[in-house]
Amino acid sequence: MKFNYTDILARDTRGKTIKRPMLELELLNKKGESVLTALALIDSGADTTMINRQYAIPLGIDLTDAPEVDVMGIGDGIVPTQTATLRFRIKQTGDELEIPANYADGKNVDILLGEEVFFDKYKIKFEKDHNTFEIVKTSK
Amino acid sequence: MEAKEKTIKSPDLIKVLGKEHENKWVALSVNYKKVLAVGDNLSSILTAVPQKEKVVMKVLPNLSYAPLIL
Repeated sequence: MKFNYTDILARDTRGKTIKRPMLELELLNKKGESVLTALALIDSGADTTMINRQYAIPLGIDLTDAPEVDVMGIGDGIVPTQTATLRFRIKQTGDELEIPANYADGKNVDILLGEEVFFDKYKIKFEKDHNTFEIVKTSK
Repeated sequence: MEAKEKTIKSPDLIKVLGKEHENKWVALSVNYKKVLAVGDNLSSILTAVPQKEKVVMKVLPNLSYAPLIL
């Protein structure tokens, strides 16, 4: 399925609006019930999925004993995170996934869909020159 | 003849969000035309907009990053 890039508030070095490949996700709780709808950035530069830890509470994810892992971001230095899972449904395709995710504090993270698992489950084709990206489910 | 696949249009966040929303949590209407709530944390906007039909997001400042596991 093909999607347009999403225009965001920021501008690039030429003063042009920055466009990002974003998907609309229904975030699911442990029972598989849709709790929230949110936008996630598909980030081929991220090794793992990162999500703001404020999502954990409404999703019913207990991070008390979740493994801790440090993640490095260029702008923010080292960010402490905790690893759990993120269950979601891609709104337009209806596909449901549960993937590992690092829950991070910090003002500079919302939801980033990184390479681990997500990029194995989907063949992702970025066509920025056409203002589109495509995701195709793989057999993995 | 094979039908051409339809491209899913993206929401126009520029029309609905401004500089005043940077670093804030927002709840948007599902058609992305209206800001329903703005707050400093997710729980405050979930309280302000209890109905399920909304889209929530943390509005990031103009920063880019590329995280990796250490």
